[in-house]
Amino acid sequence: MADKKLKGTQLSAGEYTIEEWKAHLWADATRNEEDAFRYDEDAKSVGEPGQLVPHSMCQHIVFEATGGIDETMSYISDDWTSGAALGGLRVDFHAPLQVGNTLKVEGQISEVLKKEGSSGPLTIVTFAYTVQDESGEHIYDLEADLVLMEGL
Amino acid sequence: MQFEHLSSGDEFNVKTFEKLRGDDMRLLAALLEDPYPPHFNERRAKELGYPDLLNQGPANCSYLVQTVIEKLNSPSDIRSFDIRFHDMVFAGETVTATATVEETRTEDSEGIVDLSIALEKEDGTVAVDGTATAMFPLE
Repeated sequence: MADKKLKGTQLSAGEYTIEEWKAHLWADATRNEEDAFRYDEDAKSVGEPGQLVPHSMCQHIVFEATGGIDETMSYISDDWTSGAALGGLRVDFHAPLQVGNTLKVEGQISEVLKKEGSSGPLTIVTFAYTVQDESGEHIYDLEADLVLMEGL
Repeated sequence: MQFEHLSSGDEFNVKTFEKLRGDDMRLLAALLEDPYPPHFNERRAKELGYPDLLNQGPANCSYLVQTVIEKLNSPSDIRSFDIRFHDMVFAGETVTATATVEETRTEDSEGIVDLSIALEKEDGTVAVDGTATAMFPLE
């Protein structure tokens, strides 16, 4: 059950490393034609040091680093698979996302809003994350709005 | 594409993704370790009244981001995006991602382009929309 008291809850801090194979298959699964997400040589041809991570992986990275999708969703619902969805995603990139970099992630529940939706009551829980690499360079900030139907 | 040639209202890019594949959704579910059945299990999807497998949010996000990065010198030149999910997308559907120039400006010797982005289904329903900002080197 998502309660307004969740606002300010700190998530477990953690690390995550995107491996070459995962970035490659992610690009395949999302029909991404940019081969800098698959091959070092293609990334180098556009001035990057090596294979890049698809930007759409940024939410997966923060979820995995802070315990995985089930742990993330357990903050807001005991049975999230019966009625939860991603409602919004905001990302500010400060440095390239490189394959092989270990990313350190800290996060918190930054907002809990209860609203009346077109099909009934719903709760919007915003998770906010900051991501740095091992040297402390700021890589990106992300906010994800998770929507719980029926005011769970 | 050159920054100096961009102006407000210009079509930045359009990309169509024909007949989204259920196998892509299954692969993405495995990569995500996503236990939500409609992303990989047709029987469960149909029990929920869906016409086919449900596409994942990160996939719909990817289609929009691709519309931006395809025109940049490097994919890393995208600086931000802000998107909202409005409607579900299913296997077998065709979606079109568009990016339109909203504003151009220079900051710290870089060209900055603000874009509106949208992912539309064949019936015109906007499944996802939002904004993105990208950087171009100045001539």
